[in-house]
Amino acid sequence: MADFDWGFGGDEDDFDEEGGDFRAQPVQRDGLILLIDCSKAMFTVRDEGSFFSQAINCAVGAARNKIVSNDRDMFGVVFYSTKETKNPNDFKNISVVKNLEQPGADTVSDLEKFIEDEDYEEFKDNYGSSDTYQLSDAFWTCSNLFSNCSTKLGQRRILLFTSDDDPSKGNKHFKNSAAAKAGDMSENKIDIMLIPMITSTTPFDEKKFWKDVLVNLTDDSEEFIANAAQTRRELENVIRSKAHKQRAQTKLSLNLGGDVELSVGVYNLIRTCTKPSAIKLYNKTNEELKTTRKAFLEETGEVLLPQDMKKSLKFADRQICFEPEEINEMKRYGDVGMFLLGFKPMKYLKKDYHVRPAQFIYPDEGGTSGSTNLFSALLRRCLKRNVFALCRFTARKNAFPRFVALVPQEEERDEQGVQQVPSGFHAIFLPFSDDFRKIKAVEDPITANSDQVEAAKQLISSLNIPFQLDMIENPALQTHFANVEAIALDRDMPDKVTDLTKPDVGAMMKRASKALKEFGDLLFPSDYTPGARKRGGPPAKRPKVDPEEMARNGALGKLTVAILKEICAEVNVKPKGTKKADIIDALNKHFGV
Amino acid sequence: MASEKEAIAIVLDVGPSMDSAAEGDRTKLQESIDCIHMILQRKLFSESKDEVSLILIGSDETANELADDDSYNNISVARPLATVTWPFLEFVQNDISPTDNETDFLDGIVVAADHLRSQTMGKRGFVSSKIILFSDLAGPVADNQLDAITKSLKSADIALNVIGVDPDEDESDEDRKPPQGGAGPSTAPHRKPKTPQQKLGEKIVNHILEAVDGECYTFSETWEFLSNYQSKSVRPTAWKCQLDIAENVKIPINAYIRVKEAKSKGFKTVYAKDPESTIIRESTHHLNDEEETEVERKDMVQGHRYGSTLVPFSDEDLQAMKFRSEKCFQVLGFTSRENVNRYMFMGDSTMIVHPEKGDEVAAAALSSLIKACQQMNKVVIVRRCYSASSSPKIGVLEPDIDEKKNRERFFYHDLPFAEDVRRFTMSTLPYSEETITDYNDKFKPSDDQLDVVDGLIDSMMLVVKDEDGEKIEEKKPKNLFNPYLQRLYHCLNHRANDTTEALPGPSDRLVESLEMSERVKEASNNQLKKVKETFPLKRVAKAKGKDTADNVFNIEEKDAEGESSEKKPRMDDVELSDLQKEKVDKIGTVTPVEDFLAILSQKDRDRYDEACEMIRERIIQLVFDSFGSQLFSKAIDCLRAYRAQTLKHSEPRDFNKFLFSLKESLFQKNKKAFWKLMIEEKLGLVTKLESEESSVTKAEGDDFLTEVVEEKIKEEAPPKEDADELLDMM
Repeated sequence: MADFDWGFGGDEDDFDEEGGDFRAQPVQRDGLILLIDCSKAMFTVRDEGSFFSQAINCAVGAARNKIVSNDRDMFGVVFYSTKETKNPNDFKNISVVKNLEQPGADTVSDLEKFIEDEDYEEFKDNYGSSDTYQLSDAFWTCSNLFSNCSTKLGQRRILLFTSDDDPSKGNKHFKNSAAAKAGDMSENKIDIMLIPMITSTTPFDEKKFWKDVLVNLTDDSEEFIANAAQTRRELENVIRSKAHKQRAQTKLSLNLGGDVELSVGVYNLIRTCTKPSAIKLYNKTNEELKTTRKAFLEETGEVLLPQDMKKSLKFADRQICFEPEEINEMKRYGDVGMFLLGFKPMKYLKKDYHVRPAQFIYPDEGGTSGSTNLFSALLRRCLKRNVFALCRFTARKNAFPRFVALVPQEEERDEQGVQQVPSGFHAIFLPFSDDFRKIKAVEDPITANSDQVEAAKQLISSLNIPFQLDMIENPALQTHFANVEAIALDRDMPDKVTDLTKPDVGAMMKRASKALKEFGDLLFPSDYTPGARKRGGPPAKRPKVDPEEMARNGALGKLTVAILKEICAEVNVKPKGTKKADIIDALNKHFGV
Repeated sequence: MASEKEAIAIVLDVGPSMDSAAEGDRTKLQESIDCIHMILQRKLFSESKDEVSLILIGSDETANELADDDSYNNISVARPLATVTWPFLEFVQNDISPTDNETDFLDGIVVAADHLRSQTMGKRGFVSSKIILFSDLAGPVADNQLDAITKSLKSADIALNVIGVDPDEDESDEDRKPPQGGAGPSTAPHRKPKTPQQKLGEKIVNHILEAVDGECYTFSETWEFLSNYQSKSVRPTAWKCQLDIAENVKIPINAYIRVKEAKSKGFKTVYAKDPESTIIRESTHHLNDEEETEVERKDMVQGHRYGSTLVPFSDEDLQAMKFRSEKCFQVLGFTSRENVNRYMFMGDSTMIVHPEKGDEVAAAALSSLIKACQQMNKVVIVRRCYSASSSPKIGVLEPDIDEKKNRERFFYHDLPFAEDVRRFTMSTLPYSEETITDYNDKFKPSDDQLDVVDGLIDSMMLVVKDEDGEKIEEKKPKNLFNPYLQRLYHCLNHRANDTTEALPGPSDRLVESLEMSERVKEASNNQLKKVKETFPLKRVAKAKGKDTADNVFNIEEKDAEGESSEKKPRMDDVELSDLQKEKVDKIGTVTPVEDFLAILSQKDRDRYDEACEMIRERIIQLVFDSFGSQLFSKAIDCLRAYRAQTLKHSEPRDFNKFLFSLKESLFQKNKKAFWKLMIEEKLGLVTKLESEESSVTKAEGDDFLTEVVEEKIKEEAPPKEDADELLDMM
């Protein structure tokens, strides 16, 4: 039973496998609208495709991304500066292309149509470019989409794609009304994120217009004008990081002792992305089936409700029962939050202390004002003195406390100045005494001599690689989605997935053939076969037996389960269970004994 | 394969001297029984295969195989060698009482050794045996057989531990460290001096201990390392594979899990009235139609979601599309240590990589890589596939060399895939002079503040030097036990004896391990005050969970005040309201209905009037700010919701009042289109038929909701101040 949840929000383990007790858990659903400028400038042909096609590519990417990672979120696309007017409120030159809905296969395929051909036929036939519009109307349209959405939304965000750094052309009213509407939306917790479309030759000065319009949107922790991306890949990265607001997993207090408390948000910089589980469909209509679980007594058939049941553990043949609430009570200790216990030098954080992925904490002025100030001071001194803070950490009401090491983290940026790791503290989970396993040390360890180490060094130098966090995609997950997508979009073949986890043996051989050979020659005797020593010949063959005769003699019990299973396969018998007795029963029956 | 287990004979002296006080006012026998009980519990809950027997010396009856008329009397094998059972625990707790029989403890050791020998002979799996003697060694002792006894213990490889010996008062205790860090034995100041008999006994024991493995402990020393429950130990099994580098280098390795969270045995759900009865669980699948028609398994097909699109998969599809791989451990390359940081580690465990056992070639090859990595400050990026049926992972091998222990190894951790990484961009904190920006300047700590934080860190250092200059680490993970498991075992033991009583709270020892130590608390007290003075901290909103936490968790304080558990809110109560409470404080224009309902659903205080006022405000704004009829539908929704809530709360007066003034304004400001909508939607006055509180009759209500009858409105118009209020709102 996991206590944390790196998955899709919610405290699932609070209800574990309790039969019948499937209360609907409110899961936050977010809304994302892509607002795309369709004025003529967006269609200028460039090396990497027009800005319009780049924006559509981003939209396709964002839709697929939503489908893959948050498929309950709502997604919409709005064009502005179109010749046509297609929106429920008849705002001029605004077109709602995709209503705010859960995206699906048609979302992706419809969007892809816009960039099927270089002449943008689909676009020209249905929308067309114009150069007059009111930005405030575009904002109104999006705002209405959000408010008419049938589901209660968590975050609401607009990504605005444009290449125009001053659409007002000096028109004060245009600017003021846009700014007023943007301010209004900000008050209603709708974010607008500007994605400037630029090339190296077309500068984009956000000060001209956008900074003033989006002035109210500067949240404490986020900038609302994305770093201008010049390449397609950069742009995709920007979209990926901006398409969802950074949401703290939880916000809680960090207690330094006594009543000195600051507030922090806890974030998951990294979480395991898993393959979504399969669903059951009715094969005649493809509709989803609801699953109902129930528990009943074997003897009487009486259906049991959660309150009829208890949790039990068996030790030395004795059942010991607890109410579920009692188990929660055993986990509870103290308040939710982080409680400082002291500081230790970094070297006391041993390399093998790892039981679960780390989390990240960042100050929360909204909880306690002054938090950022104190947090920054702690960060600064911990960095300088190379110490970590040891805390007791209770993440939720029914989670038991764990110990975490708060490790100071400096901000890291790449060459373009894009933030890679924010400044703050990582919370590294420490193991308990119970979690260490005794492993026998290697007896009489053999250590390499300096020549051998030298050869290894040569090998290492010739096989040097960079490593970045987002370098390698999960091949199993990618394959799964490629397959689902291929069927959903009715494609002949799924997109080919390259397994980036596989070593490029060819390239390695090329780069390191000499070092590999020297290493091999020095360390491996010519007659050495890896792994051969242990086995000592081919695996033992199954003794020649006549199962039928053995069955008659009642001697089947002498055979191992593995062999019995093989026999079953040979004579095509399916035992009821996997226990030895079941298999022998089945075989006896088969041979008529 | 038979597992490795130990045979343990506990020899307990129940003679008269054990009935005297040990430390505090408990007798030595009681202390011994507590220790034995704990030893047995630890065995039981860790589901140990070890076998334990209990031999009483000084017992009234004589029951052992060596006894005859004049020797080995008053010694009884109370529980023969076996795995620990509940009756054994109950026996120890309830059925042992002191006697007047003084018996030679050496005889007890002989009986125990003989018992261990006879019970383990010919049985598989025993790898060691040990006698634990609980005695103050005050009884008579005959040392003429001493050498023979020592010899036979040594040849049978039986270890001896003696518990209950009083600490020496004259000799210094320095070279005897308590078995696990922390406080030493508490020496009672007014201890009775040792009798000559005890001194002789100790000499004899020490003589034996010179030859065989073992140690003498006081009760407090023993308790020190017994008082934590033990989790089930996991026998490490090797994951065997070959570390491949390109094509031609293959190093056979054995990888073991070194650190992984220990969990309790899984709970089983049982029928409360009869835990032994069998519960059948069944799941059925239904169509989403009115009858909820059940669908049979053969009519079902597996599918996956592609957003809102449902994609069916046939069995063939599934087979054809399965991702395949094979067991492997392959080097992708070597990279600088700085590129891999521990916050990136995924998975739930640390693995250790050793060379294949007994393979010297593999050992040298792996050693050369470990050493080279260490010297070059590199780590290895690898692809790991546990088995053919599992999907591949990427991971990192980090060298770990301990020259003193002559130990070299790689640690392995999983690394994240691109999909697992969520890019969070957060404003730079002013943690150095270089990182100060216009934006964060206001948070910049001053020099004074930094000094205070430095002082705090100094006062709270957990690694300190003792008098000898030795470094002592407080709160070391190896000494900190999983608090949930500790309590679980404690409660299990409690519940096993008594099924009705409430569960015990956390033990003092557990609390101590979870809290700031007294030393640190004292040392940091002044510094904390300074922090409070120099850093202005002001709570803005209650952090989530805080309010409930105050009520639920502060067990100690509440108990002290005597108003304990009844006030604890049940968990379920808090959850939903908690979620909704968040943020919704105002009714906005975007989702006014939801906001309205959310505020009403806040159970912690009554905000009905407040919410109604806000929704009225919002309706007026929506109607009169609307260009044309753009926002009318939204305003209608609000009005409908407001009306429904009015009925629910049976407070129709304000609503009716509002409706009158609204109608008036609509006519004045020429928003008759909205009035028409209200008529269409039948959003009229709440009448007596609908709510008893209303003073409006059905006829009046019908009248109201017609096109224009101005006089009637006037007749029943609301008091004047309300109309003014309404205009103010507009």
